[in-house]
Amino acid sequence: MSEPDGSPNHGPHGEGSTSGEGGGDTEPLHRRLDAELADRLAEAALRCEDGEVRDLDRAQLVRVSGFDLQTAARCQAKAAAPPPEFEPSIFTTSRAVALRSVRWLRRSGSVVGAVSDAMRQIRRADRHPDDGSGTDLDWLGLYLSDESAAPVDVRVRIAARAVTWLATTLDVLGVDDLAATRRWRHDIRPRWRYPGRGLTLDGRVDLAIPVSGNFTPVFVVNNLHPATLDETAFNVCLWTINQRRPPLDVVVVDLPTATRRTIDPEELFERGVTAAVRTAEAVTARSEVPVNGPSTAAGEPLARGPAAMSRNPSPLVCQDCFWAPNCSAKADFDTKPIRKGGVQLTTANRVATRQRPPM
Amino acid sequence: MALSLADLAAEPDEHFALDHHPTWDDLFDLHRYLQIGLADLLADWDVEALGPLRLTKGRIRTTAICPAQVLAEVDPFSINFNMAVGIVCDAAAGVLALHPAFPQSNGWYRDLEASLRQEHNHLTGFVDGLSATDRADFDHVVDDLCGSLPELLGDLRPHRPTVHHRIAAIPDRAVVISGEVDIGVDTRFGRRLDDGVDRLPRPGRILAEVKSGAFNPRVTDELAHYGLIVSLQQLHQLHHLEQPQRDKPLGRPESGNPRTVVGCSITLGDLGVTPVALGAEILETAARRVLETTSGLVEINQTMETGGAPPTNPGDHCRWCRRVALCPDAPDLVLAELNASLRPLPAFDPKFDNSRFDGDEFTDEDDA
Repeated sequence: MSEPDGSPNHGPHGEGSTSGEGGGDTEPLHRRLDAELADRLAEAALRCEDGEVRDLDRAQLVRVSGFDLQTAARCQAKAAAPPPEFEPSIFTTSRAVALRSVRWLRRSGSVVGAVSDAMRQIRRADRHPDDGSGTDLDWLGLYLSDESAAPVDVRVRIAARAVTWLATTLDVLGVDDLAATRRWRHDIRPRWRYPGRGLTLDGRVDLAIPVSGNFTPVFVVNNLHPATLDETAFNVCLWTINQRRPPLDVVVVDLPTATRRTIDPEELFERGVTAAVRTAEAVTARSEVPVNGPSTAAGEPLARGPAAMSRNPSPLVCQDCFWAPNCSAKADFDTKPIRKGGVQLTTANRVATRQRPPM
Repeated sequence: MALSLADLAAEPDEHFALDHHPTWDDLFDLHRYLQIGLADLLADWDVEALGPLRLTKGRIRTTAICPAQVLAEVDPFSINFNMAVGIVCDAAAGVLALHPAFPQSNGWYRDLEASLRQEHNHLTGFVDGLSATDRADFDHVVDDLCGSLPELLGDLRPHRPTVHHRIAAIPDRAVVISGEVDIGVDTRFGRRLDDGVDRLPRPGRILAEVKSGAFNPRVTDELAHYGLIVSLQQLHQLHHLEQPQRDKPLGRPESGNPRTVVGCSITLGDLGVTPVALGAEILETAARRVLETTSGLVEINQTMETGGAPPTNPGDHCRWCRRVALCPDAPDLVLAELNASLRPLPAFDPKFDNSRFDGDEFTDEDDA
């Protein structure tokens, strides 16, 4: 059985690369995907540093992540804005804790025990027996060990969210016997590198469950928005290239509705490549953003890159968008009636409900 | 010693009457009833253009009172003393569910402040703005109510607790029914039912709602709303409704019945833990409320799209409506009271039913 972790790069110029070999329909799927990504990302790649990824500094790389995928699927222009600074918080750490708890499930014998053991282990990484220094801590360990940033109530809230995530996931997957999780893999990071350019696609697979001599990737999501499915498709593409074969099935667990969808991966490849191209176009255009940010002068167009991209304003998308102050699409959207949860809440001019002046 | 949620989870047969617990057939009928009703009400609903209609617990409650109340959702979030107290009580319950020995040193609000600043910054902004006297009152009320939580909850860790769990069901592609369960715990029922057929033992789930006020029958409605969602989820898991696969169970197959879902109200105002059986009839009532709410919201939407006056149902409840000052139909008596009542809020009374101030309207906003 091939193990899904380790994620060696088998991209165009990585180990096992077959770029330039063969062709036609008989070529294995992973090679066709590889070639298609290289072809369709060529224009975006031209905006990236010249050189192989392994030879470039981290700061020189343009990385396209699942987060970017979701952003670009909702509004491509927003994905071209400078990315928000990552800040660890209850919202951004609980999923990571839940995933790291998977390996403790069998040993701990319960979801609560697994999360508790995982959090203890994450925070213990810095307790070096010799000097107590914290060199082994990763970003999560650093956050959870910082009493001022993550005091006990914050840690308990993170644990509570992790427990809820994990318990619901196990329920939806129909896992009663935690011993069955022994061979599960979690938090796998497939990656694809553009040949000769500093562009990488960074994917993430939440869980991989062994089925019939292969691993089935499982994606745990909080909604079935098309953007979420785009990200899933993107990750399945990267998984297929890294594994050198497609999975038999792809499973998507939707936590709020407690449902799971089994998807034929063939349905996802085109979607995944298209989403990757859309996102890479936006992310690589970030270098064209003016140093001082978007102009605030009325009528002045946005920076060249984002202005050429599709925009899809909505309250959720625009609320923290870099371009919002002078985005013409948003300005246009703001003149329309407010709609929430399917219901139109105002008339077109947004003040028609004020039939009686406020007291 | 008072009854606790952990006691209910350990000995559910002692506390829940399950004579009319729904079978798979009941749930199937319930789903059909909803499907047919929703298809009728939403025949002209363009889901591609408008998106699905979202039915939260808050919308179901307010629409039943006055359908136009939904229009208040356009206003910025506002919070008051009772809401703030309720949110802190919810947060405290969530922490205790995982950490029953949560160390108490500076009072509940201060001990939870770091997490509240992340998860409820509107609340901490409100509390920061309180006067010294009001702040002292707030801390006193919160500590008084939350102090009873450890006893009312018990140690839930052996029962696989979930905390503030967002749940949703999609009975029709144009409708999403959603809610957030404060605390859920696993249990196992083992009693022989009245029909004499052994179905033992079978797994169950207790859905608990924490209220800072006293027990009110409305809490039963809220629990029924959750019960309906979880029941529809089970049915979906079992049947894959879009493809008839009744012979291919995906849920827990050890029982010939759905997982038993029951409710529990934890009311801090009267120190009560009240078990609520969610039988087939209660779920039917919840389904009927879903249809009534859908009808009301569809009508409001049509009215707003055509520029007409939204239908209202004025009455004493207008006193608590957020858009009372904008509503043309608000009773003059209520408006006169409000004009004259620019005076301090009445003193907080834990017996006061503040279940309407649980912040639910804001828990499902990020569904999209």
